Amino acid sequence: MVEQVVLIVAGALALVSALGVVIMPNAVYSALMLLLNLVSLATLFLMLHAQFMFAAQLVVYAGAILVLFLFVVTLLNPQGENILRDKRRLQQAGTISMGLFMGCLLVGALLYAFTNGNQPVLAASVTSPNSTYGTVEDFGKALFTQFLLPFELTSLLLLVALIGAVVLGKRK
Amino acid sequence: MQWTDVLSFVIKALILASALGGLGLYSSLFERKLVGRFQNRYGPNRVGPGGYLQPIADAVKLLFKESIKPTEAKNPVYNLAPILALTIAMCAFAVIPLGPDNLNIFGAKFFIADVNIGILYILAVSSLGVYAITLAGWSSGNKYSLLGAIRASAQIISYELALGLSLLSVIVLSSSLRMQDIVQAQHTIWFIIPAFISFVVYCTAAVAETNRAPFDLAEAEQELVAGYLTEYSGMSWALFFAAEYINMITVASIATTMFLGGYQPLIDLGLGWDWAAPIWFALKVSLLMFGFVWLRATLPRLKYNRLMHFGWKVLIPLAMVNLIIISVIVAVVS
Repeated sequence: MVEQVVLIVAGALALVSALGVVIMPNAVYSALMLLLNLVSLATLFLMLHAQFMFAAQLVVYAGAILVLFLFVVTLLNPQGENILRDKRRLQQAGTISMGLFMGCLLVGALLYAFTNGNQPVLAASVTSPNSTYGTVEDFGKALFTQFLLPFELTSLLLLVALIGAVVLGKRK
Repeated sequence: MQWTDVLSFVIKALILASALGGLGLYSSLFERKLVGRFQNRYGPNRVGPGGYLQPIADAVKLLFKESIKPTEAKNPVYNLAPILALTIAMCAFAVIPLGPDNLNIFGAKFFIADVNIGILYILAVSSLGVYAITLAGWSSGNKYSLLGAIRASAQIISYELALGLSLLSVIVLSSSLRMQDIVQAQHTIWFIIPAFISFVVYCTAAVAETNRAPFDLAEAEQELVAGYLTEYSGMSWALFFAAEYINMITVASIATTMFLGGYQPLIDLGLGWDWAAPIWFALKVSLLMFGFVWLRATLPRLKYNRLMHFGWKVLIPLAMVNLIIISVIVAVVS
């Protein structure tokens, strides 16, 4: 019962704040809405027994990446960039209809996944009392055995991006 | 989980929050008295016997002081920032155990939650603390505030890496993320001995994380008036002030749990005095707090480029090498 209430509240918050990111008049408020969105997503991860994802979501996204966003936005303080106030009507209509199309695609994919029939098995294995699904140990094992190649490739990609940032920053 | 569990969590959280509020008030007196002694004077000694009612007088004064809000302030954020600072400072305490599993008062144990991702939770919560400062600086609508906030957030992000890396070696040593397991793993030997470098790195990074001297560039009064606090007054300023002291208590408690054996006694006399566990915890925390005050009274403020240099080029490599060495030793021994 408690879990259901938390799930519904966190899900609703995630939806509302995601909408807020797009329609807020000021970029700083958009960043704050994104923070709220990330925190509610972290709560959803926690309710789904994905403890590591919960912590990673907060440490990496909320604690580091979004802080940098806020950093730039508070310094530059851009004004009036907003879909709802966009004067170019054609572009505005295009953006909104594209957004609606992507939304429909997402809902369709989710509906397909839920009616596909595999869900109850996975749900039962996750919620059983001695399940290790989503724990840090389980996550680490999967990352360093089953998904080793993608994991190492990602780290290489990050390294390349890092070097690129340094090179671009050094250029006069 | 039932609604009654939720109620018990709420009651425990309220007790902890009020205790932390009181302790935060009195650690200001602790600091002022000690700094007084370090500077060869008495410190506050007028209000009440020996000056021990000074924090209450300060709190009452701040409560009745008018909160002046600048016309440039961006409203919901300006009011929210101090509340956010205080909340985040208190949140990390939810997983810190003040007593062993079997110790309880009327069935209530000495921790709010014993989660199996304790350290990760602490890192997650402490990484959110920077928002309060950034938002306070931005919403004040003052250039000095904004500059202070940007300095503070750059500093906090930089030192958070060293902080996390130093805590990783504790995870390697105890092979668990649960706080109770970490404390139990220190039954024979405290982690400060095998991971001394980690302890030093943690303490340095913790001082930087709480924006205290010698790392208090965010409120360097000679250059930035009072940094992100410039436009705050009265109760909203008091909330930031309380958050700073509670943050100090929190980082000292984390250091105690991770490196100083938590609530375990220095020497186990074999008397089975489990009830003394919270007292041992408080003693170790106050020892660390004394160290923080000592640092503040002794060291001058660093220059900004020195601060960044120290964080990125000294602390992080040191923590990294230390982590690798400890991991190799643990792998060889086991």
